[in-house]
Amino acid sequence: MQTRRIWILSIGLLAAGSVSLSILLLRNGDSSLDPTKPLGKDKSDRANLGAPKPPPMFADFIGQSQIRFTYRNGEEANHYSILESLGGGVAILDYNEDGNQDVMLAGGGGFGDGQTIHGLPNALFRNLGDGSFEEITEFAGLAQPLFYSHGLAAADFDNDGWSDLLVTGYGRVALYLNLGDGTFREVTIDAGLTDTGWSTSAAWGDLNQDGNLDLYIAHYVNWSFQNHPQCFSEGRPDVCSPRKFGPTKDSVYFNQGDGSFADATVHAGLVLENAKGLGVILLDVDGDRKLDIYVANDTTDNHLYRNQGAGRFEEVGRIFGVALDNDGVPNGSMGIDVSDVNNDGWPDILVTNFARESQALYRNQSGRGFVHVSQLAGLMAVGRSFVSFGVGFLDFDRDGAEDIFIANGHVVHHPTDSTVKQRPLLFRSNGQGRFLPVSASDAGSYFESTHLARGAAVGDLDNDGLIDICISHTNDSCAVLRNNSAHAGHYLKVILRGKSSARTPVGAVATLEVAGKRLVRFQKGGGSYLSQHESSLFFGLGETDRVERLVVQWPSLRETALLNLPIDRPLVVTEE
Amino acid sequence: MPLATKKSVRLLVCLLLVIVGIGGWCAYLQTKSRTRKSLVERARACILRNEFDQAINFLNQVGHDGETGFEAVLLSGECLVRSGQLQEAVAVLSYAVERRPDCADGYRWLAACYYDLGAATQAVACLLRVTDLDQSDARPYRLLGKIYRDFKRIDDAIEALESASRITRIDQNTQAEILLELAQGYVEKGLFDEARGALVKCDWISPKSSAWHTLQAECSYADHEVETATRQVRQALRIGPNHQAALQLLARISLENDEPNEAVEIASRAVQLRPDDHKSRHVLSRAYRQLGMETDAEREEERAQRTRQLFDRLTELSKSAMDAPTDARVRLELAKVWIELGRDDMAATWLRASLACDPNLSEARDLLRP
Repeated sequence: MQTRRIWILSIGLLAAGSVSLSILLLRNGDSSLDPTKPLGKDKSDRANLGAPKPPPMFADFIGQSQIRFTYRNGEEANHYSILESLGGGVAILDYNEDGNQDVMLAGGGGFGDGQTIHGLPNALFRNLGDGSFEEITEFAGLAQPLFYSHGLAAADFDNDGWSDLLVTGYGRVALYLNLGDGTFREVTIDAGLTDTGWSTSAAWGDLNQDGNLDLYIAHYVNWSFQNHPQCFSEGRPDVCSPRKFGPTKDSVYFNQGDGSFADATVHAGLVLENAKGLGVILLDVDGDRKLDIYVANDTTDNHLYRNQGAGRFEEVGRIFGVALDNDGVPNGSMGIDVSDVNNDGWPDILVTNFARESQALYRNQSGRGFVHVSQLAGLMAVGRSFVSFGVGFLDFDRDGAEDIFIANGHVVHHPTDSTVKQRPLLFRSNGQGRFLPVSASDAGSYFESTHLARGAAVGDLDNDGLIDICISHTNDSCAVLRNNSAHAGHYLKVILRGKSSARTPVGAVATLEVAGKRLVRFQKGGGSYLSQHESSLFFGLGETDRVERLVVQWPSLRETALLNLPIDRPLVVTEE
Repeated sequence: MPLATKKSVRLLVCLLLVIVGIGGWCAYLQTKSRTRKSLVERARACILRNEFDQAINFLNQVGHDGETGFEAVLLSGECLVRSGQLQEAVAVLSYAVERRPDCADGYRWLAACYYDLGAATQAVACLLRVTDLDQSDARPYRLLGKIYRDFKRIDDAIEALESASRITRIDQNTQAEILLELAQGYVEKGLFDEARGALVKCDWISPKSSAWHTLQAECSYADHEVETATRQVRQALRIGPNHQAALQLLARISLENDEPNEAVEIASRAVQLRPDDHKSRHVLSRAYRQLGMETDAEREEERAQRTRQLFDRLTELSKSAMDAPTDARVRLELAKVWIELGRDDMAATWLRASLACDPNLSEARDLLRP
């Protein structure tokens, strides 16, 4: 009798176990790539089923950081205007030079009576150095909402040692001069920035090699309430496609070195008509040590302006193979970032795109052109349902290979191809040009839920040498993600300070020789979407605890070489 | 004869007369029914011989009433669709489904009719109705998948093809074709694991088709298995040397893996076979650039862009055709664009649709002439 009971009990337990295991396996096997559903476990996870599960890589940091802020787009007015679809950006900058990265967020705007458009305040949060932040917008002199805002770009344009700020948006821009005492003064008109278009992303960089940071401002489309067609999706009113509107020209302003700027758009040869700019990055694509300009345009060709010297540029997007996708079709491009993904020393370009398209990774062919390698790189393996915006290369596990974060969310209220809110994406690099999606459960709870995300910036917010992420959401509180990566390797954080070059030496290239490998990082101007990453360069070192050599090539064509560097700490390298 | 007997005889005679009358009427009705049924049967025989006009003649004699009449209406609709008299077919079949809203066959033919007319919205509505009425038929789901794919609604296409693939009462070859179409949808959506799953479900087909090997190669390539992908796509080309998707993929793999000479060779073959293949032309242009052949690159890029513009124009016109099921002109325009793309087969389809909307459109008639 006793034996029979044990048998029955055993069979029962076995059956229950089998059912549970089946359910578990079925759940894990459900690798549906719906943007609302988190990814299932990746292959490496399956191989490590027996190992103890490490904590999520990114944890919600918003509570501890006290960064509470929401970008508003005014959708409650029911205008369904395309203005509402762009969202806002994030800047990570050390505005008070205390060694802690501060956070600025664009505020957006709304609509009043009679189709008037107004702005909402942006916000600056000071990093207190203990993991918490304090809002100091009012004190800093940034509280006055001047216009409906979108983008942020920070750099020390007057080489006085303090990071200044540019805010973009509808109808004008605002340039805030950092006075060095914790406050800013708006100097837009005095500086000659008379931009009245609908500006999106902006990038700082010395485009004419005079040692001063110039400014590129991307412009979107010619929408206004005088050009505001009614559009529908699934029979309901909705935001119009950018195809319904004409393009507007981007602008470039050359820094005169006296605090003012001159509109050099025509002089520079940037007069293309067919551009609907959303993202911009400045980098040297062809190794001639001159900054080129790459612009992500929505539904039209992306543009690559190659620097010919003397502040003149030639558009070579199609010739260089970065204008179109691998089918020869222009995408709805939004965000951009750059990294040497295959360790050949050349900058490769990643562009985030609209649904039904894929993220576009253009591999640099030694400065002679690019090849679209998204499928080969594994970036197409997450499906084509994502409407992707903010993007950042970040070596979150400090293994020496830069990984990818992408913020997503749709632009219309009733999409037929995807969902409105979407989950973000995190890819891990294998260091040889191949990326694997990180499962949401490994990445952290933020990755398991959906968001209407736009701008995103990466930087080390708590000075632990691990790169954190800040994301702006439309009509929802921003997110701050703290990097908790367990067993992360050693690192070296390099802060470049130009002398002959601009103090923020956009275009500088730092090469680190470590354990027989060469890791290259680029000092970029602009990047992501409407946002500004921390300007420091991060090198993940893995298990290696000794750095052999660091070589910095400055925009001034000078070079600095340093040997036997200390690790696991920030290192300021000043141009000699 | 007693009075009572007389009355009885009269009654008997009357009764006999009534019986004979009823019998006669029944015999008449039976003959008529037999005649109607025989007309329907004769019409069916004509349909089998593709003699649609003759079939319609027989069916017109049947009338509309009763079960046989309804059958005749439905067959008339089929004849009209198959003989290309699409507008008339719409009228007849619409009458049929109005009379019998649960008639799946009526909606099936109506869907085919709308599809041939390029009225995709109406075709989709009819197909969805068929799927409501008859969940055992994979064909409407398959056609839905095709329409959705044509209009780049990949999610909807996948959903329809998934439904089709769940239907088991179909022959194995059709089932395999559906699974290949589903795998294609998954690949277009970037769902490579799912595509691989669909391909596994039909890997019993022997010999494997070029499409099967090409889709396997797409999945392998997405997994960074470059050598495997190359081997698989070459296998696809051994089976079908002109398989367009295989040529497209091999050209792309060659370009992305720094073999521009091979990319030029393969992409050139692809565009020679299909001048409207703008994707291969783009690859060809990029490969020429890598080889420093700037003039050739420029020429191919221009051609690729021109072709793409024509496809954009096709998309616009197709949307107009969807909104205007009887517009002959917009269908004629579609045909002209296809002619410009070198696709006479597609042009002929649209010319026929145009003439179905307006049989007097001489330009369409002239273009349709060989």
